[in-house]
Amino acid sequence: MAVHPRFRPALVAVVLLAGPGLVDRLPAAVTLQKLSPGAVSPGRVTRLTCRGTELETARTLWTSFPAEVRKVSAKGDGAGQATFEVTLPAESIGRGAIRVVTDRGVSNVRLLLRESLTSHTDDRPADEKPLTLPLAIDGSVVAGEPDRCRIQLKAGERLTVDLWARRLGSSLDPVVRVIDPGGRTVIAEDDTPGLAGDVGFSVLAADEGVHTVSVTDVRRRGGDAYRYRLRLARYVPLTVAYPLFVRSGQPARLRLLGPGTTADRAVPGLPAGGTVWVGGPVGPGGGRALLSVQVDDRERGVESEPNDDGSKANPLAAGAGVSGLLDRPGDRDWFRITLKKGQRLQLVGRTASLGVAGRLYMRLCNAEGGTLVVAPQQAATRCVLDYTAAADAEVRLLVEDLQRRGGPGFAYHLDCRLRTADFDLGVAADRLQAVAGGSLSVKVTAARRDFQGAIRLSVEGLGKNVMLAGELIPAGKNETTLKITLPAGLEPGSLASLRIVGSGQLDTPPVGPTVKELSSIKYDRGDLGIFDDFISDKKGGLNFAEYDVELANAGEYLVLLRYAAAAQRVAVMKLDGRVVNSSIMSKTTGSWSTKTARWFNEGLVKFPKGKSVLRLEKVGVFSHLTAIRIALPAPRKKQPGRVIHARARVTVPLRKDLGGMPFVPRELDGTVLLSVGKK
Amino acid sequence: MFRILGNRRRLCDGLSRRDWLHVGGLGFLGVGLSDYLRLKAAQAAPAGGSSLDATFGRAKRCILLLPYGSPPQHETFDPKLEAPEEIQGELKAIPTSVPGYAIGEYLPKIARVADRLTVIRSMTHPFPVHCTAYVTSGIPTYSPALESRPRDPKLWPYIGSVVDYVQGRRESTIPLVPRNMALPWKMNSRGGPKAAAVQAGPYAAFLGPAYDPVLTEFEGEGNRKIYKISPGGTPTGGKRHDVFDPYAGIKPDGRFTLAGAQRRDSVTLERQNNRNGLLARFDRARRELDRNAETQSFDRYQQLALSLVSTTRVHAALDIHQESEKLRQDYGMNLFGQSCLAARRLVEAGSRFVTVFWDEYAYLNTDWDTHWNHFYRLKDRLLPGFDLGFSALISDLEDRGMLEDTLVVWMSEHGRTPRFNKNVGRDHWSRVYSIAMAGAGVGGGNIIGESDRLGGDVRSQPVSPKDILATILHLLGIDAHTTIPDRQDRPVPVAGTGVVRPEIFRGA
Amino acid sequence: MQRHVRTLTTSLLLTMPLCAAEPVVSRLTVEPAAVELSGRRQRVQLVVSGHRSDGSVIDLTHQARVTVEHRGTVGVQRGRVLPLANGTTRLTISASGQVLQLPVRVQRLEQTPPVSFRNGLLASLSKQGCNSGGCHGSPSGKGGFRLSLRAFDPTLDAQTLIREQFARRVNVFDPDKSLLLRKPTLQVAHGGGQQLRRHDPAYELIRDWIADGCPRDAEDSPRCVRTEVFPRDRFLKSPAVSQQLKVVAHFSDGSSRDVTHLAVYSSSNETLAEVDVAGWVTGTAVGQVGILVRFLDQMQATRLTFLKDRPGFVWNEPPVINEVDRHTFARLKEMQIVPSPLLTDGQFLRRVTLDVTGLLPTVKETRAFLADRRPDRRARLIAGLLAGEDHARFWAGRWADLFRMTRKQLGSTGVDKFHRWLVAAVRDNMPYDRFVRSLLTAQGDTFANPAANYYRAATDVEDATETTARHFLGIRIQCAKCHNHPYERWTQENYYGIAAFFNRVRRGKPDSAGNLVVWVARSGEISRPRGGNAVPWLPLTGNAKLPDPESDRRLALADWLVRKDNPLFARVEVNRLWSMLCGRGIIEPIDDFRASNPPANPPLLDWLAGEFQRSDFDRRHILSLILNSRTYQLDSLATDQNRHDQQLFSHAVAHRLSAEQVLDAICQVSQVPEQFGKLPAGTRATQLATPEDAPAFLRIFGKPSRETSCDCERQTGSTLSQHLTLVNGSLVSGKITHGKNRFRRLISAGRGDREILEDLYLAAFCRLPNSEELRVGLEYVGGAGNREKAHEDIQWAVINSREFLFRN
Repeated sequence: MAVHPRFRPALVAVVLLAGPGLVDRLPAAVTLQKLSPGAVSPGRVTRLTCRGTELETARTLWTSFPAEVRKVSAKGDGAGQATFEVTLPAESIGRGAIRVVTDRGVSNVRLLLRESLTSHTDDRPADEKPLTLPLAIDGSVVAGEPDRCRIQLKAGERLTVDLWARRLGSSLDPVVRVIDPGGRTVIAEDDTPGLAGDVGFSVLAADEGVHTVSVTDVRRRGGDAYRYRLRLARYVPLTVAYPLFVRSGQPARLRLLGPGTTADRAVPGLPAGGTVWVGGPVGPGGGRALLSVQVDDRERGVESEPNDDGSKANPLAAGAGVSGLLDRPGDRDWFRITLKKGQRLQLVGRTASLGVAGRLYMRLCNAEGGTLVVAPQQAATRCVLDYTAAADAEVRLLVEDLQRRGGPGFAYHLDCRLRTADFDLGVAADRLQAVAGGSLSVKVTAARRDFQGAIRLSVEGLGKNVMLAGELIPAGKNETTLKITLPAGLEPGSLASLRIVGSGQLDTPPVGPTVKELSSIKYDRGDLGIFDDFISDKKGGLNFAEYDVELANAGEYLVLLRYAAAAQRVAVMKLDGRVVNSSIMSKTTGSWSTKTARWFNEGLVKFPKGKSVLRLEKVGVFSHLTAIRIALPAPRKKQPGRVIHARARVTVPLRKDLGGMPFVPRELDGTVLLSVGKK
Repeated sequence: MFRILGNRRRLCDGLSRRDWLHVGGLGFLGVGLSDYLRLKAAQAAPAGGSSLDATFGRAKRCILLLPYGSPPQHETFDPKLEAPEEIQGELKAIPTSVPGYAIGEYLPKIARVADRLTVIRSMTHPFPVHCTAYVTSGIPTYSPALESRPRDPKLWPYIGSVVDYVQGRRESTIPLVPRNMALPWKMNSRGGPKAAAVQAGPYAAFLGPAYDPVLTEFEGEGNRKIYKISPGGTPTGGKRHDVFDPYAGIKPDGRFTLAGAQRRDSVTLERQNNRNGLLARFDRARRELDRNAETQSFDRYQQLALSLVSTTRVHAALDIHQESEKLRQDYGMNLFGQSCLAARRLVEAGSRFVTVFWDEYAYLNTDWDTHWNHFYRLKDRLLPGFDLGFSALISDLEDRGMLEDTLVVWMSEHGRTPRFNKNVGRDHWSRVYSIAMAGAGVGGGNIIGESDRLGGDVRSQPVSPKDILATILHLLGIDAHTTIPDRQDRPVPVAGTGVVRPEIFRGA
Repeated sequence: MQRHVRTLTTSLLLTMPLCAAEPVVSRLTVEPAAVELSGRRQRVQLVVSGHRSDGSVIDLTHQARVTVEHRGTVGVQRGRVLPLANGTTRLTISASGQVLQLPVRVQRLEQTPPVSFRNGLLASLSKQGCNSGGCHGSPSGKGGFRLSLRAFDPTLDAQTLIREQFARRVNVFDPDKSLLLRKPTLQVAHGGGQQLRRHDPAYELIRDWIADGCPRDAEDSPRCVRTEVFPRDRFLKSPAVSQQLKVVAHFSDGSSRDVTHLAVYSSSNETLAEVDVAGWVTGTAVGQVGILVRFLDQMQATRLTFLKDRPGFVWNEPPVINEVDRHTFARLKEMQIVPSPLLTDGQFLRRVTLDVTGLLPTVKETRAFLADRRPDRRARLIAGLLAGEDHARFWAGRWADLFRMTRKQLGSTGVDKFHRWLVAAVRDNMPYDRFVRSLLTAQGDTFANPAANYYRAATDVEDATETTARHFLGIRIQCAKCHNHPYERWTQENYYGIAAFFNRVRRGKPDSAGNLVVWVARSGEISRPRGGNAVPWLPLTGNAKLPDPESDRRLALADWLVRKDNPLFARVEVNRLWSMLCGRGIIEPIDDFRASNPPANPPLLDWLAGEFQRSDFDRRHILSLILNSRTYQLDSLATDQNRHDQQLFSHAVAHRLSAEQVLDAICQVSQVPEQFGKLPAGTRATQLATPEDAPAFLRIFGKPSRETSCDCERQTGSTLSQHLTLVNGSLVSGKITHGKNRFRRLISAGRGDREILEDLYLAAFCRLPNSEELRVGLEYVGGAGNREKAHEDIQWAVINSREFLFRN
């Protein structure tokens, strides 16, 4: 059973505040709208101008990558602009995220690149001298009118175009066109497979002269939200850093693949849970391919050819992940998985969400090759196959490209795990503000997959004495408003990052000694005579039974109900008017006669010290309830109940701010940034 | 087998061979006696054999009255006095000029002219869904999904378009008064924001838009305030609205114009004639263009457009102010009555098939579709308007000696339920309902078919709406078996599975 | 049975009587060489051909006198030999002074085999038309009696004829009393009238079948596998005005029999020639006609060309620019039709610019071209227009009509991406085989691979089958979905054979951004309505060979399409290109390629198709070949010599501009652009991506709303509402009264009326006004009180004139 060990994220990320009214409202949102230039250069100091709102009290930048930031004053600084000097270590490349930190709070996130190409803006004079490679252009498209840039190329010179828009959170759906000196279109490229809607290609200039590179939106839209960074260089393009996942803490050798070229890159041991960027070989004059690899703490393998037919399938263990390559058209990869009866297998294949081309077709067969199940095709980018083993058996999985394509760009990553009842958590805000010792509340929602039990939330990253309220998502419910009271010791003006983790009890803990036993109420139903097992007090309508409970000391107790039921009559349990379990008495005993009644453990309920009122409530008739018992849970030490954990993700607020980006960068997801205000 | 001769048309799958017309019946192509006898034998009708040949081609023109929403048969032509109160409701019946036949008590004038009517009380078909397209074209199968798509390739041509197409084949000239017209406006175009989705019906389908009915426009206002309750389930559900519904009464200065042909104010008649002259001299000064089928049809329609804009013939026909005040009052000073009057003037001026819609106005389902507010609508404006308009049209045609070669038909999509619903309204019902016909070749005082005691099912002589189409075409001199090529050039019978019903001619 | 009424046709009548100077018949031949008759129901049709000294052939079957040596053995009526008694004899045939002997043998009259259900009875019912579409063959039958359309389902018919309604239709004990005979002969009332007479061959066959106890065919009974028509293709020079056909059926057991009296004949062009029930074809006008001969499910077509020496015909040897002209003029010379003269430069400029880019040339371009004196100016103009962006956008719109490109169908981003892909395909002149292959075998995201939108528009198997067959094979396969094709040999099985290529295509649901996945399942078969699974089948070749059962079958279809020996693919596309430029296809309609609808000029079509394949499917090469040819540049003004020709391109076909061209032309002539919703200013109507952006004006003029994938949805005929819109509509009046329209700009620039008129004529007609037009115009402006209003009226008259609204 997969348990997420405690981990410490290397990267902290935060996104625009969302969900008005959920958090005590900030006076006016601190926003970051435009960055220029669109990239910071490694190994040098870059003067970065940030435009947005409420920036007059800007102090520094939060960055998702190690960097030194110094606030400087420049012409035009004020509420709408702040300028910083950012110094990066020499080897820092790839994509990164930044926010402006002000006394009034933290801005929304903006993505930018870390690379050495010299940046130009797109509003250059039209008659200006043609530029020479390599270079980069930061700009935003005007509605219906292409952005043009004139470059000087020699005959046979390589022009590599790499346009970042969707991958930086822009709403632009780019079309890039290269026009030769004679006015003919050399190439016009729309969605390059694997770049999430962006464009990347490499051509050799046929003849000497001034070429024009034009960028437009496919639907002729325009405006600030349609920004892009157009990288033009001479390096040989690469498409995949393989394998796609490496295990944290261990050095790994990566193969960088591209059309007609490969390179090797060694990677030191890395902390888990993020994305690491590797650069391809530097092209003449500078500029290199930027590729990413995911890092996490799980068992990561690589497929080994030949596995082109069922008999040569690679073994695949539950809980493991494997990267694969479809290196030639029609390439098929087979895997073997041994399952026990009743185990629920889930195979998740990823391509586009990891920035590689291709779409997977997955088919699970039995040993003889007969099809068991084919993964459904949806427009979503992950290919998910679910199968419940009918008997102990070895099954075979076929993985191939939906259109049987293959080549250097076609890699994939396959996760194999046994599905148990579990859940995901989502938090509604990516950045919060509060005063030391003050309190704030944020909405947390749960997406349940077969797990109906209660979920207990806890907060990591703020130290010990944090007071929480509303931290229990009751069984059957899917959301709560978590109220966090900050420890007094937080230093005002500081920035803290917190993570919300939820844990759920898979099976209720074993029953310990009984503390209290209550018998059912005797009552006269009138038409059906006197009952000693309570089923209902009126014809139809709301039925309920209330019991006075007095306990010596507060704490979590198990509530057990003894009842007989031929059919499922689910009821609700309340304590002092508050729902503590919304699906009780859901079991059956085969008949209504109280002779078949049995004890059923309805799970933990937190009782206060002294008197309280326990109420069972249901619309319509109850099952035949004969007795109620309140008991202490058996001490955990002997055999701890299976507990599942999940880290709250911040996908929804992140996606709202990152424009057309189909999948949120893994390194940004999961952490909420808290800025501690002055008193 | 009967087919229609056509010239080389670029129908979707028009075969390069010509499709051709072979029409049984007198006049055209001088077809011999044998076909004539064959037709008689084919009908093998029980009633008087001679009625078929005597009535073929009797009608020179037809006025089709289409009340959208399906009038209730119990309160009009098929009252059920012996049925209990919750079936017949509060309106009783009155005797008519036809001994032994009683009619709804709110139709006194129609009761007097009943001896000129053929009433069919045993209409039936299986689609209780406002299927205007089903009852006015030969389409054999039907689905409500077609209702909201007037240009759906599966639809068949409107009966008025068939008449226009056949007549167009006979005489190659285009008449100065369009043959196939419709009043007072485009069906369901003034039904308010939530207008009924029903649009399909009066369109020429695969015959092409050239044969759609030529529409008029009504410029005028209602002068009587009535109230309408908008349908439940809509944002204004159940709310009461005061509406000046032109069907409840109009100011006398209201007038009909030909959609699109009303000259712009900046262009006087004199300037329009100058323009026409200029265009003619330009064309003459220019060298002769290739005279193929397309250029000829271009010229014909251009001449018709120019004449509609410059001459007054059609505008005069539409000008009801030329009629006496008394006659206008006889027709009823409301949109339905004045439309009937304008229709009579149009057929008199030469149009061949004129349709009058009694359309929904301002709010969905607030006119003949009486699911709720049933008796108020019927008593306040629907029955009185129908009574005045329909009886005045018949008497007016008779006074002018036009009745014996003009066919008048009052029919709708279907009838309404015998039992009242919870809002004391009647819902849709197509198992049995009634229609009325008068004029050319149609029997007087001729009551056909019966419904059962409750007016819920047909007791005798069931008649399908397709039979009515076949009979109308027969009276207009078009054999019901005539076929026209559809989009895939399959021979398609104009009246679908309809058969001419000679009982309608009894007593003509 | 189709009844023919001799109709008066306005075209030239072939005069029947012989002319004076007449070449003499030197030799007689007869088909067949010998007559074999066994069984009393057999017939043999003789076809007597007279060969004349000038090499031409004349049919003398109905003029020949035939005498039988031993009377009583056989009888001969209008060339048809009937057996009377066993024995051998000889026929003596004399015509036009020549004599011919023919051996005859009649045997086994008494052992006449029982009538076969399919080859005898069903053939008779088809001959008499009982099972035709308008009668008992219609889906709901007639009068409660339903037969399968043209006997395509013998088992159903057997059930109906023999078993249904307690076998009341057949009376085995007294066959003549069977309803099956008494109804069509009108002894009993019959809705369809008299369709059978006692002396018809079919009567005897039906009667004998009933008398033989209504036998069904044994499983292995011989089936007709092929029919042969004599003469195959023949030129008939006046005074030869008729031709008797002979049809021989070949059966699966190797036997063959004359079925001329049982075959069903129909002419592909009734105005040129008609055929009677006995297979006798009479020509009524000069031209070529295809006679379709149908016997059960076998179909053959024969091409007869009727020629007549036109008095005073002199071939004017028009200069030949390229092969297109050579083939066209050869055909015209043969049919003795003189082509019209060449277009003037102005007319040519207007026509070619409208055809290639959809737009009118600007005044500047017109003045430049009229001033250009270079001999190759027309070729340069054509090359320039073909390489332009306007051409790419206009012709992409025509593909978009066929692929049902609407926002409703493909989503707004999908439309823009697919439109961009189509425009790029035309601009970069993507080879046509690659264009069709990338559409047919498209897979994946409709955003990443816009060609996959082909399967988003064709929403299911039937749609994909019919769209592909109609546009890339030119066959109307949808007619064969419920029964056999009425005029071609496509059977219902063939329909499902082609559908078997597409039944594995799957479509996902569109995601929030409107993207949709098209992919191919690895398994799944399509079942035929009459049982069993359909096997992928290729027209004219048979079942397709599939590499492996899980492969994408569409690849096999795409590979077959582009093979050089595929007779359909190249022809359909060159015919479409020809139709788009010349207003009418060499085969018309352009999606109805079948034997019984022959091309007007077969050598021309074959050469164009060959050239298309030799140039590796280069569409621009074919376009420039046609545009540069003299045939394309002929005037549309017909002369007395060629007025009657509608098929052989002796003169251009004038047709009204398309809806989009009309609107763009009005905007250009009035210099007042139209704004389409939120689209950038200056967008042209001819370049709109989807009808949803189109104003009501375009719908009135017939712009299709792309509900079906058929180009017939574009209404090209004139209607009253179109002319009311032009004469009195707000759009036209808005343009001519606009403050900054063409003539008002010239007036404010101080130009004279003459200059304004000339500028208007150059803009509208690409020529200067002639003296008469100038006089009428100046006179009108002079006479009118208000100068601006006069010019408004002139602009109105030009916009409503036929020369402006037509592509001449």
